[in-house]
Amino acid sequence: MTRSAIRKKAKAPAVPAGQRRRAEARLRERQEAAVGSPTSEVDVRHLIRKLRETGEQLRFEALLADLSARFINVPADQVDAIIADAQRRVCGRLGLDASALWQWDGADSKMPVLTHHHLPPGTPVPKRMDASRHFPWTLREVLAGRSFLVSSLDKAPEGAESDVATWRRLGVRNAVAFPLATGGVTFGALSFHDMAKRRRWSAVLLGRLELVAEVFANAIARKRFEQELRESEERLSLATEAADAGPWVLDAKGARFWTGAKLLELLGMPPGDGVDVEDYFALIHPDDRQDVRGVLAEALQSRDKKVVEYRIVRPDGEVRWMMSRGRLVARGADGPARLTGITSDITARKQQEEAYRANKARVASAADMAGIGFYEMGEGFRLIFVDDRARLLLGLSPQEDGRARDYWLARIHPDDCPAVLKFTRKLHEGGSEVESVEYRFMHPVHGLTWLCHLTRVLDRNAAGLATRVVGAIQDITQRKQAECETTELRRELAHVTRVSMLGELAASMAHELNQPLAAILSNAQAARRFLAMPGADLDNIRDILDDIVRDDKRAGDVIHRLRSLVQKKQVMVPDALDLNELVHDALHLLNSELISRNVDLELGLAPSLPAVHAGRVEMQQVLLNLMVNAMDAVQEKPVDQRKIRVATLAVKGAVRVAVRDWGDGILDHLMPDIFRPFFTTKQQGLGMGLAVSRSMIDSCGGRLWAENDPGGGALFQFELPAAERMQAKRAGRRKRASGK
Amino acid sequence: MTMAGNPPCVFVVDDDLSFRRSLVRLLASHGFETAAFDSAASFLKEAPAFRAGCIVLDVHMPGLSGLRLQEALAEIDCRMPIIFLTGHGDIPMSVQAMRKGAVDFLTKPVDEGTLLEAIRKGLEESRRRDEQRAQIEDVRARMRTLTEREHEVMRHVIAGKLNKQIGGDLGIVEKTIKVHRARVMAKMGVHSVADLVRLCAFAGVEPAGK
Repeated sequence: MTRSAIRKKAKAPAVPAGQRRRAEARLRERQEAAVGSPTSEVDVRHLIRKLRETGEQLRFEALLADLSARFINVPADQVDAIIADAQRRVCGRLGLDASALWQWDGADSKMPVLTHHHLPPGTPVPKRMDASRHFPWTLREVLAGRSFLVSSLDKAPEGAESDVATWRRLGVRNAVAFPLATGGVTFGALSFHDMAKRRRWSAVLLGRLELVAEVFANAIARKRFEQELRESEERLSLATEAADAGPWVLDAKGARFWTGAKLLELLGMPPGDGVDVEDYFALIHPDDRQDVRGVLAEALQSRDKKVVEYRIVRPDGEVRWMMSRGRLVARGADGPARLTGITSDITARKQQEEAYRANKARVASAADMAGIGFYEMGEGFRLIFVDDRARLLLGLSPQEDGRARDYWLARIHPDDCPAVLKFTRKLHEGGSEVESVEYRFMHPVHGLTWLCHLTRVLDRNAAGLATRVVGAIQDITQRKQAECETTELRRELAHVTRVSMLGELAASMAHELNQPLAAILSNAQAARRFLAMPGADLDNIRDILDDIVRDDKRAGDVIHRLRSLVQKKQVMVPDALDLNELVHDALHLLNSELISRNVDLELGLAPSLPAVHAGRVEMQQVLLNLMVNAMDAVQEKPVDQRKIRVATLAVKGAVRVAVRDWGDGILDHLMPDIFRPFFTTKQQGLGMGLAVSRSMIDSCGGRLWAENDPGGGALFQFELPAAERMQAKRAGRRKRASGK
Repeated sequence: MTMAGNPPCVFVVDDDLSFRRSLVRLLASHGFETAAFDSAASFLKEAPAFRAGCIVLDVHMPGLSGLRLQEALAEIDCRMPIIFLTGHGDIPMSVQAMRKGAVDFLTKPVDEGTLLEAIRKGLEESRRRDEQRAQIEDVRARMRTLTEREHEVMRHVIAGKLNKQIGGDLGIVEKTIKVHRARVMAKMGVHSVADLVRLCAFAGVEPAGK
């Protein structure tokens, strides 16, 4: 290996220019020294020494050249092995006992790793050391880019005490160290030591060692660079693999097309085949071909990155979505440009997109069909987004957006306001993430509409207040109208049934009303006569008048009870009811009927019952219906067997009313039908009584059922949930007081 | 209580206390003697002791109804006239009541005049029945003075038979029949066969040979 080889080596690409120049200067000095300068005095001893030095020099140069050559020629992954060998050979050549090479990654210089060493056998090898503790001074020097020589541990500079202690512990007598750097970044250090003897350090020796350090630095730098390159290549290849992407290159004329195996795979072509540009276009779906040509033409004209998505039809007929992206890249300063790019299979993404689009379209059409409008609100009820339909539903113009909530609240029907405010409070202050409410809304154009509001909280702040809310609004006016009509029909039916039942009882009712009226008439007539007598007994007259007043009230009560049953009410008004009281009321109305039909009534009322929450008239109707049915059931029995029983009892969480008769019971095969509308066993029955009764009990959250009593006759029972912890009357008062 | 010496009484039977009281007051104001009962059963218990008077009876009552009481009274031969009162009267019910001898069938509230008229009619009927009963009692008392043979002969006489026929039927000579006949006429206080026939019909004596 010649000097020029060394020079060449010194020009290794990874070595920075400044370092290279310094190295070249030193090399020139040494060459001059080796060749010898012209001298007039020729001293043989001097010459001999010179020759010896020159021989050494030459041998060292040869070693260095050999090492450099090997470093350049070996693959990066073998550099490490050569460094260890080089350390050994350098120490051997220069008579040094030990050499250590430390490296660290990036900025983590505190924990250098002893990657290479040459040590006498038996020396303990510290693999990792806390450099800031054991070699603080060394580290500082090396990181600053300075090499140093500590020729004797006694002569160590100020501040190197810890380093000296470590050296002593390791058994070295001196230290010379050089930073290993590339691109101005120090990534390691190379040190040499004597362990057995002291040494005089000549400038020549130091120069040689520095050269060794540079060769090592370059080799390691190259290794690191190649490693990084390989890693990034691996990363790229991983990325392309992962993206199902195949790289390609197209020359600027659009004629030569180079494809990797991956692209062929994506195209569904066998690995061996070649594809030229026209082949490629032939694979593109005819509908997309023109687009791709257009984009390709643009890409070849500009240096911007171009992207195009299109379908290809694989040879096997399968249609796949592809995305190609590419950019015109100049080769060298004035070389021909070429388009390099990658093509990836985006079928999965397209399918997802398609599914998403379809889903979105479905949601949109569902929203269209259902007439749902959407909106979104941020902190402090600020309107973030509102779609056109929501605007239409609310009659909200963009000018109102700033005060959308006030606008909305002001138009809610006063009766529904409490429910709506409760709904918003629950959402905004926590307690629920999804809530819905139905309310009447005064639309500025359409007038009163029914809206259904479904709202979901997306975010809350630390205080638990909603900061993002999305909502859907739907116009449910029609549904509500239908509901109202249904309710109206049901009410109508209940009313008809009730009135027809009362019609059947009309005779008894008339009797019930006649008794007090007859008494009043007789009393009045008697009083008139008493008054006409001389010396009328006023006390007697007063008694008569008292009786008249009482009977009048009694007649009034009967009329009141009847009227409440005959009246057609608008809505069922739930009230807290005492069922015992209700049974007594019903008996007042049925008293005459029981008498005229010679039916014996047995009462078994529980002494105290929890209240139930139900409509008074409706429950009255159910009771009357069951009792009249019971009376009908015993109608054909001999007089002394005509008996019915009405009982109440408190069961767990509910109140039960049982109406039993001692008739013939219900035939087993009719049992499933008795609650069906228009089912009747009576000559003149509507067949609606039980059907209506059951629906009324159902609507109060209760149940009504029938069975045959083991002791004979039918047993009808209904249960209504008890109004919790409420006394009937108190609850009733509170309800009235709250103005419901 | 005996037949004579008792003023006629109006018996009010109604389960409704208030109405009962008002009716008693009204009748009292018209000077009637009244007695009130709250059920058919309680009246029935005491009825055999009653003679003169009429009953104002409610049709609808728990337990024994008015119509049933009418039947029960007939069974114990208590023949006081009955005026029925009802909250609502249907025709079959009133027909049944009238057929069984009710004086009237009135609907509550009842007009004072109508009620008083009915009560007067009832009491009149009662009085008439009492007199009739007295007459029958008188006839029967006289009949009880007849001998068995005389009673037999009387039944033949009212059958319109001649003495000779009677003698043939009874196997007695005509002359003896003539003597019996004269005794019967005397004991019964009649002067003609026609009178005897009327008395016998009144007392419910059947002619012989029928």
